[in-house]
Amino acid sequence: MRTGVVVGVIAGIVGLILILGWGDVEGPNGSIVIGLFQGAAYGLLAVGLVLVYKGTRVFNFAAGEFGTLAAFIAFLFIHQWKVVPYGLGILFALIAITLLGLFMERVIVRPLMHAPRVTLLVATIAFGLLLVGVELFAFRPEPKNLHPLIQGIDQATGQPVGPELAGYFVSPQEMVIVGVVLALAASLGWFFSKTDLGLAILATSQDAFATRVVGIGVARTSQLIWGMAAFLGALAGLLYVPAGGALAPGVITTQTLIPAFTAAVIGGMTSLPGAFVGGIVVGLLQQLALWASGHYYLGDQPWQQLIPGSADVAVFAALLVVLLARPQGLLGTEA
Amino acid sequence: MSFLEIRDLSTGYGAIPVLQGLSFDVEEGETAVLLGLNGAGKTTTILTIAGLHEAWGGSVTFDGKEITGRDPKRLVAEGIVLIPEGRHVFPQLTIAQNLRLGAWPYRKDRGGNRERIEQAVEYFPRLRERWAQMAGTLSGGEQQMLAIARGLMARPKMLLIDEASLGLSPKLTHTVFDVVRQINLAGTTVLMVEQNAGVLKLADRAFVMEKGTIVYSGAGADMNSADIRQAYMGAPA
Amino acid sequence: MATATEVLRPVTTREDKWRPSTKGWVARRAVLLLILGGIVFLTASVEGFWADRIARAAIFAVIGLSLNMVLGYIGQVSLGHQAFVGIAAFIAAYYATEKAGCEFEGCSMSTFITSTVFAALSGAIAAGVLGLVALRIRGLYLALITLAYGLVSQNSIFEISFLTRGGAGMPAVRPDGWVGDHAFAFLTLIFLAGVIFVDWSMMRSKVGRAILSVKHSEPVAASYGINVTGYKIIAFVLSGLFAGVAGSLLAFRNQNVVANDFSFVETLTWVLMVVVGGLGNRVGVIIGSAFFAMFGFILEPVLHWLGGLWGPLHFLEEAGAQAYVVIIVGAALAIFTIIEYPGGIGQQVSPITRWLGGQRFSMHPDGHGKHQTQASEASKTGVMGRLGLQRSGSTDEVTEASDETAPTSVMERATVMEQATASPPPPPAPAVHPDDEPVAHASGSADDPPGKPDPVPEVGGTDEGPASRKRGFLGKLGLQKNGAAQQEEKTR
Ligand SMILES: Nc1ncnc2c1ncn2[C@@H]1O[C@H](COP(=O)(O)OP(=O)(O)OP(=O)(O)O)[C@@H](O)[C@H]1O
Ligand SMILES: [Mg+2]
Repeated sequence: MRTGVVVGVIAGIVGLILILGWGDVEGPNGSIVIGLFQGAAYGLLAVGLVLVYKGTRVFNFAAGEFGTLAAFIAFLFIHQWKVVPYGLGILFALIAITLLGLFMERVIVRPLMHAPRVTLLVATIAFGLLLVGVELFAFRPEPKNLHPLIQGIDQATGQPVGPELAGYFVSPQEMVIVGVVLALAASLGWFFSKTDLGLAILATSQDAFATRVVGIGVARTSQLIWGMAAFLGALAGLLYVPAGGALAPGVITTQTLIPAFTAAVIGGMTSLPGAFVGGIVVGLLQQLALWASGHYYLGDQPWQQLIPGSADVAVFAALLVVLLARPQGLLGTEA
Repeated sequence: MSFLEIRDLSTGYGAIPVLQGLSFDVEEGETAVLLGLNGAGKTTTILTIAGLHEAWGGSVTFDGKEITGRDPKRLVAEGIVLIPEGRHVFPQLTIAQNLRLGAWPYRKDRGGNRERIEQAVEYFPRLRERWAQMAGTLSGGEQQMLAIARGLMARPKMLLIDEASLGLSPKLTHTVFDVVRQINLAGTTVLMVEQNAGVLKLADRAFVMEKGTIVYSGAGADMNSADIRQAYMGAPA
Repeated sequence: MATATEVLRPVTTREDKWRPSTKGWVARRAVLLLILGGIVFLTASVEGFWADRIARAAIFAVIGLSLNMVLGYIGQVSLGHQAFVGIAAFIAAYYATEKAGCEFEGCSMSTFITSTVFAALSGAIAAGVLGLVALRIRGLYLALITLAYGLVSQNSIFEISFLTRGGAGMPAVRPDGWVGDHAFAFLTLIFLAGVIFVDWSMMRSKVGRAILSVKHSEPVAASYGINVTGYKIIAFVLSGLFAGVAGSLLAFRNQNVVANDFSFVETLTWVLMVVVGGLGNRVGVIIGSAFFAMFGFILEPVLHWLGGLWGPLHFLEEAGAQAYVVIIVGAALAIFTIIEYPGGIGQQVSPITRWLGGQRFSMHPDGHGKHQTQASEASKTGVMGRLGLQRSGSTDEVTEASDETAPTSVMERATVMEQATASPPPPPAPAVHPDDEPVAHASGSADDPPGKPDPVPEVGGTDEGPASRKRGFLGKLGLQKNGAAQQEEKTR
């Protein structure tokens, strides 16, 4: 991947936040840290998206709901039924969603293997909507709250828990995110470069016909890919929801699916590390937009009032620019 | 009972038939060549044998077992290995990784694979020089060598080779044919699709295809006679 | 020109030639009138809240046709239609309330019309911009862009406080004389009829056929002198126009526009209703849309009954439950349709629509379109012909049969999408038609076609393989390659 470009972009965004925020009371550091953590969650989801696209040439628009549903399942076990400790609830959710990914592969992806890609895309939309419907039906639209493993605020003192980083208190959940992401990056790297199955998945994404020629079972890699993608999606949801706020039906689709896809597109839709780094870029970009729109005045109104949702607008603009500027180069034949 | 028996094979693309009742036999241990004009259906035939294209009718029997419509996964494990037209190496994997995947059914047999690799680089020393290079950046000829080497990793009993000489220099073509001869001598049955007439020298048997059927079959030596050559080169029948 | 045109029917089956007798026509017209009369009678006689639901169904049908224009006719997925409809709804309401003062003084018909015109324009402009984007970004990536656009609008434009009155919603008072639910239902039905008419007349015109050919294969269409860019944008603009009209109608039907009405769930449902209806099939899309609009209301009593039946099922009776069940069932239905009946409702009812269109009643009209490589490969050859494109001697004279007889299966239509969007890309036209090269250089621009006979041999009877077959169906387009088009192709 064009690593240099991406590193440059990240440096540029961070630099902009720093320069613009110089002398600001709150300071820009918080924005950078938040951006990094959010970006990590986007990156996780993006890695799943790229995996599925590489391996089976599908844009999985149901990916966001893997995350939302995982959070709901954890919520169900931990807070609603109160039957299991936190860790076990998370584990149940991960297992359930991984199975759901396998189910989706079997019921939707495999029968449509030879169908046009756009048909498959519509099918994943339908599946995503089905999951949203199930969430709405089972949990109703009112937002819930899935607590993080360790509360970010000390109940007794009201003080934020966790170390201070450049004036920003890093919450325990955010540290969990960092830990999980690092562990995941290491194990994925190992899986794809060292194991036969990992190589087989990479091979599938490069020349699906040739994988059949050498005798690799198509069904098996496809299953593996979808199972892994669902697992990653679930993990993203379980990490993002407690850190990012309310748990409502469809929340990951509305809040993180597009940033994650943007991250994947920045990574060329084919590079797993690229997708992850893309996630960081998007996370930082959102913070820059939010921060800037809240701080700059146009007449008597800040931008935020004039154009709400500046973070989303920034992501959309980034997606559009990347796609328009390099429709073929960055994306291969399918742009 | 021949090693590979094709009986009344028919298939096509969409509604359009390509093979219309194709029959031929390949005996164990021999090298057979399939000739024919462009579009005669040679690739289609070989893909259908390898389980990569669906047969509409007829049967393929290998070593006494009917294998029509079997999954390529099983066929490779049973020793029917294809070296496809257009190489189809994995472009973003190294030579080493390509070879590793070539041995997919035997991936647990590390020791055996090492021996196989030794053998392959003996045939094509160039592969060793480029060991860690991405296959996509290899030259066309090098990719063809890799494709053949990858096929050998799967311990073929029956090797199907589709136009291995396409785009190769005369010298390399010669090398490739020579390697095929060695492979054959080592006990592997070979079915080659070729346009290069030089292949007839190593063929025990030759078939000429036209519009989806065999119009001529005979010993490879017979094929050298000028009129039959002319027939498959396209003079009106 | 017509005299010089050699018109050959592309796929001449016996059904195509067959024409019903006078009696047959009378019967067909009578049934058609009966259906239309039935709808009118139903709307007039049902209770007010059912009339309101019929209005909703009619608006959904307009939205369905709007989406179908993009999804069905040019084969691109738009997941941002809630933004077009939503922005149009807000603009209509904004004009009626804030500019014309309808909130307190009531609304005149002319205000309603003006609002609708503004709404339609907003939709057309927004979709036109999307069309420009779609020139460069296609297929999966366009779907992504549109979804992003929809979500951005939801979080951004719909939050602009002067449009939404800070979330409370913008009122939209129905026009005088059309305030009642029955009257307003008729108003929406009139608009629906208008939209159907525009859609129908466009698709049977030269423009419509060109759009379908663009969907089949852009490079190929371009090489035959079809202005791909222009027609694509026309389709997008029309789609936006319909969406705008639907937005305005929805605003006045709801009488208060809130952002929540235009969530992404809504958009996805719309896409699915078009798929269930049958891509590119007008009648199917209308039925599918109406079904999705009404389905919840039909389900409500059923759920109530189920909930009362057995204690543990009580939750089914809860308020809102039915709305969510609709989403679940609708999505499941769409998945089922895509996998098992890719032709959608349109294909299922096609024996009837074909009969109404003046053909024999037949239960097996066209392909069953399961997703098999074989089926998809087969359809490649037939599509152009079955799209109703005919061979003729000149470039701009393309005549056709009824587009209602066009292939109804998703597969066939979607194969086309595949060709335009996914690998393997269609071979560049020059390679496919090597012998057309001299013509390409000799002929003029698309507007000034040479009146020379079709250089392409008739389909069938040859066994030269796909190259000749491709040439065959291109020939049916009646179009010749020309230099300008080639240029365009190269620059793409
Ligand atoms: N995927 C496909 N879809 C449609 N038709 C195809 C497809 N593949 C091959 N054909 C057609 O089937 C016929 C036989 O093709 P095949 O590739 O088997 O020929 P071949 O004898 O291998 O030719 P060559 O010597 O050029 O490789 C040709 O007419 C070809 O156009
Ligand atoms: Mg061939």
